[in-house]
Amino acid sequence: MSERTSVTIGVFDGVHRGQCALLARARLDADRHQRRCLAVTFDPHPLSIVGGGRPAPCSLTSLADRITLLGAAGADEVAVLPFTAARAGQPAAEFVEEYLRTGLGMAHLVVGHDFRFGAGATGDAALLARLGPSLDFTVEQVPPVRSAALPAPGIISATAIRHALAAGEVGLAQVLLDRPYSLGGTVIRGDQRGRLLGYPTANIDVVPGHCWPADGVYAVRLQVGERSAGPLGPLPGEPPGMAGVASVGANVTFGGQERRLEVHVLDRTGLDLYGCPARVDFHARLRGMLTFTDPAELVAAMASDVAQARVVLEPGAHAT
Amino acid sequence: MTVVAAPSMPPSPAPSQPAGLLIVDKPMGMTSHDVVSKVRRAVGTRRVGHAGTLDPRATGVLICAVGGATRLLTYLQAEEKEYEALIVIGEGRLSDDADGEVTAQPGVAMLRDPQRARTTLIDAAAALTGPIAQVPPQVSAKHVKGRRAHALVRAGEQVDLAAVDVRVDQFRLRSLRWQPADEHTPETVWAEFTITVSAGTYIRSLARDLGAAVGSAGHVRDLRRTRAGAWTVADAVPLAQVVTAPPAIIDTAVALRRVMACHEVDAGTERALGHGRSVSGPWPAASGQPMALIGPSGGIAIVRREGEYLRPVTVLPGSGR
Repeated sequence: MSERTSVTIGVFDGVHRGQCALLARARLDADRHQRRCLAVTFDPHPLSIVGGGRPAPCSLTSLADRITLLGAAGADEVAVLPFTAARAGQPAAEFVEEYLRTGLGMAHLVVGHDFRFGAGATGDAALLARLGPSLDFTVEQVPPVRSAALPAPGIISATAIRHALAAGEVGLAQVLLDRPYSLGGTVIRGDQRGRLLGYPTANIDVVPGHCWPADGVYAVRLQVGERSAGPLGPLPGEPPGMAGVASVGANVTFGGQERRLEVHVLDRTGLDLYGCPARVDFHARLRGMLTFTDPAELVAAMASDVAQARVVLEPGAHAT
Repeated sequence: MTVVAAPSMPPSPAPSQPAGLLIVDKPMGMTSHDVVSKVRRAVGTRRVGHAGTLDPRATGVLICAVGGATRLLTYLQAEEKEYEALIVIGEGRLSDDADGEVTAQPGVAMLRDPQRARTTLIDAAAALTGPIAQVPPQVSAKHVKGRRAHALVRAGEQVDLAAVDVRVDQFRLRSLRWQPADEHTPETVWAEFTITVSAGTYIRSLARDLGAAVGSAGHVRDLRRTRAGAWTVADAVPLAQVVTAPPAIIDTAVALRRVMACHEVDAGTERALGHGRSVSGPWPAASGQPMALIGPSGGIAIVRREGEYLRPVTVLPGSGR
């Protein structure tokens, strides 16, 4: 028989401030009773199975990043449950008894204000409270975490973050996540057009399935890993990434079609980043995507973008 | 073994050669010796060595000694190491890591039931915890019949390595997930562990044995050393930073204070130790445990207690003579 555990459960996409509150409560209970703190999450997103044929929402974090962030938020262990049709159809009470209680040794369960589970989403906090005494575990429902940065009722959720990104509000996303929103991928060879204009860019081939901020120009920091290494983790590394300006969207001035993420790194020339894993941290939106009538106008706009990004990213430095 | 490129930098104009420890965060895809070569170039001296080799795929804490401190590597290297390892269950590899060719794909049908998978892995890891007899990986630098095991394996020979007594202090599950099958690989289970072991323990062997213990096979996919004795990743400098900026070398005496008892001695005692003479001193020491005596001019003597005397076993001269 394995040891008893303090458990919290959810999709935890983004591992935002609201979800971190669940981790904090589970961590507290684990410390108080000297138990392991366990986060249970699902992969793929349950809505890809039970969403009624609609595609699952884009993700705010990769599974690997979610695991790392849940660990950083207090979990001793992260258990990823494959979400299958069979799992979706499992009666709620059976899931609690077989998986959580017997399988994980759950002694205490922390759930969010809107957590539903089991066949037909009939499992909720009330059901858990009824099951607790006979199965020997306690339940704690954590109230929603609110942010004054959101319109009323201001509840922090993955959906609210997706909406913020879709509106280009990366500053708001950062407030809700407690870290800059980021997109990871690999640096690939682009059109090399930026180089001719005096603003060479790194083209990032973004891992599919992730939410993109709205088309536009952003002040970012670019983290680059060793060419031979795997994807960069979600936690800020040392030293801080290189300051840059990112363009998100099709390159309309040059008749581009597909959506792209390109980063111009400030004050650095001769960077050789092809093939390196990279992570773009979005700090502020500078402007929307514009179509310029000639390249000279575009170059002027880019000069202004760089100046603005400098103010946002290097507040201590003064313009010359 | 050592073929060294001449330092590309001109000799430092500073009168004293750099000496001490440099804790490097090794990047993936580089041998530990590659790291030493880069450090040599960065600090401008050929006298650089490392303790506790990390495999090319592994990242994290690599203890490098610079200058005179290389002579103290034996004492500065760590007895205990901590790792974060991502172990793949369901597939065996010749090298027991992701670089080797696939040797077996038993899959993870035995772990299909998620509520039992976790306890099965936890129990298997617990059985590999404590003092264990561990067979090193086939692809390793261990000697068999006077040759390196990896050379024999490459030549197609079956290598029978003797088990070595090692100690696993911690083998804790950190995350567990199922990795769907793709065109090359059946479904596998990816399990992350925090592992604390004595020096000489192979994490690759633990992965292999963990896989076998649950009725499948296993290998290490990602490995990061988060601590070597007193030094953690928080002390470590990314290699890229070592190359671009003058690295912060930890002073030899400061480094020694973190790993053993150190005592200040007067100039006369420092001189006597410098001549290889035993000295007397009030400091108690467990038998066989080394301690460091540090003189006013920076001379360092590693001594062992023999009755009422302290006998120097390694001496680094100071600057004051």
